[in-house]
Amino acid sequence: MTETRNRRDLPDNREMEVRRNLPHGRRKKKRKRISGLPIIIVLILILALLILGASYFYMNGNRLSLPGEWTREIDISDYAIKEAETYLQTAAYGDEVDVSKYIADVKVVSELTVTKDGIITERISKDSYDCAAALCMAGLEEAVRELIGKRIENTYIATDMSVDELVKETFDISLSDYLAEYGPTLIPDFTELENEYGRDVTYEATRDSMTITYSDGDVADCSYAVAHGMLVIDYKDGAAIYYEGGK
Amino acid sequence: MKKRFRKNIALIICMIIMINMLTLVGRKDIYAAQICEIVTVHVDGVDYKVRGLNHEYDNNLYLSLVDLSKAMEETDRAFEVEFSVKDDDDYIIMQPATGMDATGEESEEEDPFENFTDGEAVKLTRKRIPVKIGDNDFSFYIIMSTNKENRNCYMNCGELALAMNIDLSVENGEVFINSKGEFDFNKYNFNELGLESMADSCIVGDITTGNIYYQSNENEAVTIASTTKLMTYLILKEAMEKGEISENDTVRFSKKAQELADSSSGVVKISEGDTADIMDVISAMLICSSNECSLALAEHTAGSEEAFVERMNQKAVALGLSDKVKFYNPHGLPIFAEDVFAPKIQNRMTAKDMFELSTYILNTYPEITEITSIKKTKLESLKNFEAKNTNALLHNIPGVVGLKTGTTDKAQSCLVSAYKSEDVKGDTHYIVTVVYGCENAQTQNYLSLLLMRYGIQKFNAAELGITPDRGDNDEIPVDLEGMIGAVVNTARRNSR
Repeated sequence: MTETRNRRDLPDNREMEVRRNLPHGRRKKKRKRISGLPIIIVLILILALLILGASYFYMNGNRLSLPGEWTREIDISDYAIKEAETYLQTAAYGDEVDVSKYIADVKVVSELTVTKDGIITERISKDSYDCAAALCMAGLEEAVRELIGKRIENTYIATDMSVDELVKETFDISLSDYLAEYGPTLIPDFTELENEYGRDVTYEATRDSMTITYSDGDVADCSYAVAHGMLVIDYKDGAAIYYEGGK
Repeated sequence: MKKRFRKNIALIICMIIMINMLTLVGRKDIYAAQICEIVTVHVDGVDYKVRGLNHEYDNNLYLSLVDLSKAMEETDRAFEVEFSVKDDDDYIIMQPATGMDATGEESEEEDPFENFTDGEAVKLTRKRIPVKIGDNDFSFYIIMSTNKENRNCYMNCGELALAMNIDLSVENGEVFINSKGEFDFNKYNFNELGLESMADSCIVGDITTGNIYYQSNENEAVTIASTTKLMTYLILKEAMEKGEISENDTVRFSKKAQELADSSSGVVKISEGDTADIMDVISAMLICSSNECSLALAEHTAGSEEAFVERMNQKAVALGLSDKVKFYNPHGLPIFAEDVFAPKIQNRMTAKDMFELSTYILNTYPEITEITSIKKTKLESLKNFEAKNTNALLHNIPGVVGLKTGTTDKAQSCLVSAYKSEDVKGDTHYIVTVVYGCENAQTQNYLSLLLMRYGIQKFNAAELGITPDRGDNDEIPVDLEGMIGAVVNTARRNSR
């Protein structure tokens, strides 16, 4: 027979189970009394860890919540369209070609790197720049193709040759080669883009604000936020810039 | 009795005065007096005094050709002015200076201002007369002094510069001439000259490549008067190609054609039942703008004027011309619509449409210029009718080969001209000007002359490599327009 005492009956609110030897050979399980002190210590340790962790991530003035690599896309379509239109309008009927049909959604990628020790660098991706330039030239080529077709139609010439065949027959080079050699530059120079969007700056950040210091000593205050894989830097005297990534 | 007598005398005197006044008003080319003044002309940096006058308006400067010849006698462009008579009319000859008079002796120095005072009023008459410059006969409006003993003639500054193709400019009432330079349009921004004030619409371009050099209100619908006859010609040629009519046909004039001939718009005197060779009738239509010949050709081709006009409108659609094109007759005269409240209607299109129509005609039937370039001819089968070309540009720019004038009260003065040239590869190019709605023939001639000279200069500069728009490879133009022009030419050479 096992006799169990209720927790409430015990002076320390501790549950004890005493196994007594019973006449039929059964043994009672005896409950041991546990001390309260180690639990307190463990709890204190956990709390301290949490506080330390919080101070590490939130209190340190030189850390972003997600340092790493971010990117953003810079749309240069409008610039390219304007350059293409200016070029086309040097020829008769050039103003009747809708360039935006052929040059749209052309972007270069800017890569932002944020380090833990307070440095931000931003660079234009050369690969994306070359790709954008190629896309714009392809668009210009289509626009010029349309213009030449229109001019042949206006002069009531009946020909079975395509525009590309006619250009090759005339100059012994392709239309794309002609435009590459003699056509306009449709997007800003790579160096120019780097100068406009690239930077090497230092920063100091708090939980949601940042002070950026430029190489010439100028300072910019901004707020920032990181959420759902996006970084937003909102300049107080300018626009907000959105980045993606966070690797 | 006395009272009645006095009344009658007064009435007779009034009638005499009125008749004289009407006579003077009818003579638009006579002006009671024009105030001449001394104008400073700088020729190659040297100042000269030349008689001049502002005709009707300020800055409409006419210069004395006699005085100008003195001012330029030390230059390579020196010329002499000789007054002559040709076909009972005044005729001016501007020849390179020889320093000799008619007897072969050296001319004596004359003081042109010997009997002239600045501000003096002189009697002058303005009319279009032939002017021979070098080997070419031009036709300009010249203001002639009516003083036969002290002859002088005045020519508009702008026309003088264009006719002589000389570098001339006017600033603060003074004239600057560079005798070694040609008239240079690059100094002028056409969009700032105000040319759009001279015509309702105009355009100049190379129809061979489709390049447009200048245009103003080119998409505005305008009445086109006798420039209609270019479309009439096109329909005729297509009918010939289909075998419906032939170059050997004989055209018979209907009663309707005779009525037109007998009207104030008649040109060739024909009667109902008269016949003529079709090519003579076409020549009369194109050279001297015969309306009765246009009508006769329409009836001969399609059976009726209405059926022919239907073809004209259909052709306009087929060519892709704008929806502003509308033909009502084959000659371009105003007619009244069939209605109680009948408006006077006239054929219409835009300057751009006419440019495209001219493009099609010159590309498809360039033989039209064999007729339109004729200045004067006798048409045998039309009772030896002497047809004189109404296109003054034929006289004023050597190389112009047509095409058609037009004049009605509403359309005012119109002209479609074509100049034939060649590019560096020997391909033929036509520079075409279209001018609609000038207030008078002189303005129409002047604007057409100016636009044509401008077009020729632009063409020459591009095609003959005068501008630096050529890369290292002379065969490849670095400008887009040059590139497109070359490609279009290739298309033409390879066309079906």
